[in-house]
Amino acid sequence: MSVRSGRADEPPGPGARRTGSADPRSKLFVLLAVAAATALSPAVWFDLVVMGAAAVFALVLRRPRMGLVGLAGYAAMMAALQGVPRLDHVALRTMLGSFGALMRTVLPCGLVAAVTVSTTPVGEFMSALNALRLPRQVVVPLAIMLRYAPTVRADWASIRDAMRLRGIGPGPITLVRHPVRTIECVYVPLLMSASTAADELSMAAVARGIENPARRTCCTPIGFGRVDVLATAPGIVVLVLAIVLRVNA
Amino acid sequence: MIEFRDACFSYAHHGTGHEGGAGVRDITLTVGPGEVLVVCGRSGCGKTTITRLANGLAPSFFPGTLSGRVLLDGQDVAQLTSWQLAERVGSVFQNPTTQFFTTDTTSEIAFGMESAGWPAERMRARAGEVIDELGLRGLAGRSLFELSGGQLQRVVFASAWAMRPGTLVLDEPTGNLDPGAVRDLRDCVARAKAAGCAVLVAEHRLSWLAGLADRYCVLSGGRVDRVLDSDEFAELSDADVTAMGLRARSAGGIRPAPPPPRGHGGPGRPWLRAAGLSVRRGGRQVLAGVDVRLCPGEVVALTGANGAGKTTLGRALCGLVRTDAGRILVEGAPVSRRVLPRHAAMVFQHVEQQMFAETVDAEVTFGLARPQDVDVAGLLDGLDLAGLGPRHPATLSGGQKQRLAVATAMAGGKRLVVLDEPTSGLDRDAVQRVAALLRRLAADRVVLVITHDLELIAAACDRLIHLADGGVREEVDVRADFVRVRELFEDMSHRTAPVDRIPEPGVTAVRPRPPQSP
Amino acid sequence: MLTSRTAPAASTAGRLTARDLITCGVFAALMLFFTMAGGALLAPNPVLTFAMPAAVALLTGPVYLLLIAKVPKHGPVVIVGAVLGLIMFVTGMYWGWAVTYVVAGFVGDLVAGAGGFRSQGLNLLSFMLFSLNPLGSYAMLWLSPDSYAAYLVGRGTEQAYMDTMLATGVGWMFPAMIASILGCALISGLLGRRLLRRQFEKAGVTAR
Repeated sequence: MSVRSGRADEPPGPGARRTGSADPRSKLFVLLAVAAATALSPAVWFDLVVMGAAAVFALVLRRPRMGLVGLAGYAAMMAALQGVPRLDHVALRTMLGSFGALMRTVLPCGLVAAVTVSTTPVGEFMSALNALRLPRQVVVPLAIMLRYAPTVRADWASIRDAMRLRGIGPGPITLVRHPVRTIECVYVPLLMSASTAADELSMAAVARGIENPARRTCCTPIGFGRVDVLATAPGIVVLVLAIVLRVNA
Repeated sequence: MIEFRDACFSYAHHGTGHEGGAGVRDITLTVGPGEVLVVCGRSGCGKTTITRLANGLAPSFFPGTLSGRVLLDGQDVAQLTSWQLAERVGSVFQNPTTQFFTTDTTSEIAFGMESAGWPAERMRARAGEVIDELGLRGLAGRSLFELSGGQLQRVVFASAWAMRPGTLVLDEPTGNLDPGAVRDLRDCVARAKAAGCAVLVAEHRLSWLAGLADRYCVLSGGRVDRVLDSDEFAELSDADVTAMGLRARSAGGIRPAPPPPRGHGGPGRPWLRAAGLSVRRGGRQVLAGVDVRLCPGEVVALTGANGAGKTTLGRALCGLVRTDAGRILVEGAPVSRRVLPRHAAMVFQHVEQQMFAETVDAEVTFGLARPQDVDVAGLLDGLDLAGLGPRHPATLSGGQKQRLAVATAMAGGKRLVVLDEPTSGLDRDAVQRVAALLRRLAADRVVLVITHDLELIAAACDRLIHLADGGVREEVDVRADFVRVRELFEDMSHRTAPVDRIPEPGVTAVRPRPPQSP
Repeated sequence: MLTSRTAPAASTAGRLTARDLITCGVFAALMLFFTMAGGALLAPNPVLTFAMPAAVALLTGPVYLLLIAKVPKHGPVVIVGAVLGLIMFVTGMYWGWAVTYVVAGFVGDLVAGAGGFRSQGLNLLSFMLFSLNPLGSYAMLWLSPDSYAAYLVGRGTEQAYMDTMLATGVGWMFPAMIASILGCALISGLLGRRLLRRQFEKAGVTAR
């Protein structure tokens, strides 16, 4: 779901479905399964299994480097936090300990998510949500959000230029000296452009038939294949394992 | 095919928000299959409203009262829903960046078909056809965020054309485009015309339509002033065209203005010099060793195709871009990037991004250390903004906002003023006002104007700097060698990459869909 | 024949129009931008991560209130909550955050709706409650205290000492976070109200 570039592996021409990549629905399933597995995790050793499954998922979707970086980061963090329980400072220990506990559950999901995002063009993602029958009240705003997010960044870059030319920031010194004025300078042009853009986008969307009550279709082809079996396997394994361990405990 | 029969429309919320547009009265017009009708006239004459009546946005999106009839292929527009209209009328608007909804070109071309619930196979087949037909093969599957405004506008056109509408409506489609992109869009329109589509274009810039338009409808105060066929329009005298408030009918008809009266003194010694400026961004060499000198008393135009580095150079001279090499000297002394913004002002293309205050008055002195020293009323008066002081800047028209940005530059005592595309979407009178303003600014300031508007260059500029591939390709004295200026524009409008060329119309002409009964 | 439609384009009641949905999408992008601005700096830092929700609350008030002012009806806040929750889930944030995003969306919608989306006070309260949404990403610390304690104890620490520490530590952190979020949301909401009154209403960008 890389917003910057429409293609992840290769340009999805108007022709057939991209080969080699799993269906976005499979990836969403693995994401859910890994999230559920970490939530049900009975012990620290099981978290390591989940992280391992996430790395296998990365390998199947041909993102081996992401998998390695994820594993290395996980190992480094676990090692660094080994010393936490021996700290004397209570508040610091609580914070670091809590952070570690959070990271343990977040990192496997983070790895699966990073792989999912880097292998799924926006078009495929929208197709998948459409196939999952999400209501248009969610699909339309989501599509617009993904399309408008880069524009917000570009707007912010111009606003920063404009502020510099007027000698009003946006650095920390002006923020301290004129806090309210500086904050206004950020929000006013950004929200004003967003309002105008929302109106113009709406007009163009109505002119292209967005109000049609027919069920929307999606032009980007998606579908299940052999790779989906491999991709979903790590998710199924950890989910089943987590449930079995919980039931037996 | 579209027919207006005594159509009148008035907006329910006149003059509020961003919906701008003047009502129209007693419009009777017909655009037949394969015909291109151009609606022109001064700003506020109601051109945009005519396009909104044709695509049904008035009154379905812009509420108001409609009387008379607007017929599409014989069927009353009022009887059709917005989505039925969307299948019969393709619409293209001015700003390409606020009329796309997806993130890649193929999805964008399919957007209308997706809304209509076409099956995926049929939709992909059609998208492929349109891509081939309009020569967009090179853009297929690309991220929309990588495209230039001109490429984006062609994708928008393709998206409208994908539904095979019997009618196309274009509302100032070239307002934000450079000459090459205008040329590409012209080819797209020619294609639709050859395929038998009825085309309605509301435009200020008329030169690109010469040889394509069949008839011209001149509006004035919401009414049809006159309708001329292309021969009659070509035979009008320049004085007539000027009197109607229209812009040049063809590039050949544009002449440079006489030199400014004595007393302005002409260009003095260079105030700003840039030597060997280089800028790399995202691994791309945007500017490579650019040398520029700017003198008070002259207006300098900065031209070049999209991506030639015009805006980057303008921003670099204002100290907004980190340069990799080269230096900038002000009055002979090197100046650091941190100091430059104190001397410089820039009027952005999207001028609303530089409006911060809650009233026009407050905007003029916003952020100044000593606002009491500025004669705000006098400044606004001199820029045709008298009486607007208490209004909110967002309620001003585009041209007024631009002049307000100029007022802030003057109040801030800036010596360098850079303007980025100040005439996009302006009518003739407004272009002349911008030209006069540039001349006035140049009296004691350094003025650089980034533009692809030949009429503005002719009316206001002394010197032209032409950028290509990140370097200064050529400098031209506008008055002494206007022929060369025209040649440069001619070249720019032919520079499309061969892969994107559109096949000659008629080779695989596609008929528009026959009108359907509801 | 005469056709007249006097209902304003951004209608003030009833179903969401296409225009409303697009406005929600654009404002969701702004919410995401400011959430990321607050989160990117603080979330990966072990000590500051617990200040992240407050920073996000401090930044998003004007966006939230302008959205309600532009589309004063049931739906937009729920949609923004759902869309951002989905994005948080897909980008690998803790799933609890996604859930609380949706819940906060419904709560915010009901509270603002109780005042017909026109009551300044209720809209502000709605935003303050909505701002509590990131608490979901810390929920696991309180939902499964056993595994949390087990992790913190690790090896070589006395259980009794850990118990005290957990009790004081967690007992103190949770209310501190809620208080900081509500405080920052109040400041941001008041600022947003000021901007609405002084800028956006005058500029005519709010619903009429």
